[in-house]
Amino acid sequence: MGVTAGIGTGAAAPGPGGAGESDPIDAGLGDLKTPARGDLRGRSAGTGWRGAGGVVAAGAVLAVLLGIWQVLVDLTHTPAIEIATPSAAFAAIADNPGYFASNAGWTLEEAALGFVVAFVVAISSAALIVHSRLADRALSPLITVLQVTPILVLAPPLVLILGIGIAPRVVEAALVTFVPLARNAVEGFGSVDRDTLELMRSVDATRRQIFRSLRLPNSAPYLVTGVKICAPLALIGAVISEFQQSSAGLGYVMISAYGYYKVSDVYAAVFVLMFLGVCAVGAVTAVGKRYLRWRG
Amino acid sequence: MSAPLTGRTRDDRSDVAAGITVDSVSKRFRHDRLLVEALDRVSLDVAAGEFVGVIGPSGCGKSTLIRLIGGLAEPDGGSIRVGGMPPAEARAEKLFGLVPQSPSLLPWRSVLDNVTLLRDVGRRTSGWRDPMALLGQVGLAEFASSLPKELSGGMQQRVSLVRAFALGAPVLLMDEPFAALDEITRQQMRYQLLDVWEATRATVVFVTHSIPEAVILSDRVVTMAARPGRVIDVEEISLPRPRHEEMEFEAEFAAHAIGLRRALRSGWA
Repeated sequence: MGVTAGIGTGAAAPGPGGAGESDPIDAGLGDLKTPARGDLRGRSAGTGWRGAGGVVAAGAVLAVLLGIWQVLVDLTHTPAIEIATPSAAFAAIADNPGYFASNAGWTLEEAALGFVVAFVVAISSAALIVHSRLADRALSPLITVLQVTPILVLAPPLVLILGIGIAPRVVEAALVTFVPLARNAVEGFGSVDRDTLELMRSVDATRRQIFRSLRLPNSAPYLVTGVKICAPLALIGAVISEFQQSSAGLGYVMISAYGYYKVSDVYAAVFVLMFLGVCAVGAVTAVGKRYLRWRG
Repeated sequence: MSAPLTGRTRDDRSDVAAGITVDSVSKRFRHDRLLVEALDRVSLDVAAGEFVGVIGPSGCGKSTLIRLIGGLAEPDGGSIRVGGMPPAEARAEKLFGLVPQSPSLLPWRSVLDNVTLLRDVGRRTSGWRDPMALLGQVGLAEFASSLPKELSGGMQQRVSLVRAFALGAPVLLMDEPFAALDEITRQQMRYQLLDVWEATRATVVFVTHSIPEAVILSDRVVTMAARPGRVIDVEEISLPRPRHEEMEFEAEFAAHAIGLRRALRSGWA
């Protein structure tokens, strides 16, 4: 259920209203503020050493937390069947890296497919919504309905509907990511400067031209925020669906390890999943930094 | 490529120079069930190549008038002709260059790309003026490849002016373009605007809150009053052209400024 709550927060990213308009990234998830603020500081300092320092600091905190976990489990002599130590989890990965890599590959593929589907549908519906009042009235409530639907709970029925195979996993990943992407796209396409819009209209620009040269570039920071939120969500969606039915993927690794009481493998799979998520967010952040220099 | 374009434009302009006729135009807005008379039977004739200033208190419908002339809104009554055409048609014919209140630069485009934006979008085939030459004229040549965020407010507004002039449009609509600038920058902007305009002689409707600005820029100044928005005075400005800063210290300038203040005050009573 903790995960469901997380999705609720994600969907609330740059919400309607002034805050979203002024700064989509800061208006995003609370925990995403850290990299955004880090950007600013790095820029004002003029060099990247603060960014590198941030990575070192975050790594240090993580190492300390893992150390505490390790020591607590060791000192309390908690049996390995109840909880794995971080070292046991890392050892499980080191023992069988190919196994974890290939299953991570499956999950990544499902998540990526689902994400792409959601992205295309979200961009198209957002374009319709900003251009047509009818589409706005018809689609916006649907997005809200989808937002309040506990999509993770839909994983079992999705398997019943879509059958065995990759389809229910892709659809689950797509459903989980759709709302934050759509909301950010609507905000990005819609929150264009009024004066600029009139300026374009004054030279009789077509809607298509206004979309291409004004709305689309304007949405870039909003889309980066959306993707940052959704890339890890897609992975989680895929894994949840793999819990229901699968023969490969990190969710499959967790479920089967659980069945054999290989607790360290469960934790190992979680670590691998987290690593994928961090890489995805990091990649999007880097791309955003490169192409959104005009901001701020 | 750009030089011959500039040369040709000057001749084009004299052919297309367009006057504006506003005939008994009314516009109402509904504000929470409250009916606001934004414009009440406003009439105004602007000759081709004339510079007309419009002053008045907030809420007198100055901006609404600009939007109606530019075909960005429809009047509830009366008629408007620009170069003999209804505004929507004039807009499709690319007769307008708009200078909005905010610079409205696209932050992801360089200064030069912002200036050429409307050409790319508007597909105007002729009448273009060389954007680089215009940027040079307002002292921004070396900022052509800068991003808007690297420019001061005054510089951004100069880019906005250049963007409108670069269109080579026969009618320029300016909606308080200097309102957000500090007084010193504002003073300089007047003469830069005049400098660029003198070379084109486009028809200009210039909305402002500033009496000295209206006097020094305009051939005629229209004074409006609020509730309902209406024209209460039209004053011919007799100062010769080209105008220059010294004129602001002359008795003639002061007399016009006083005349406009009186007209504005009569609108309150």
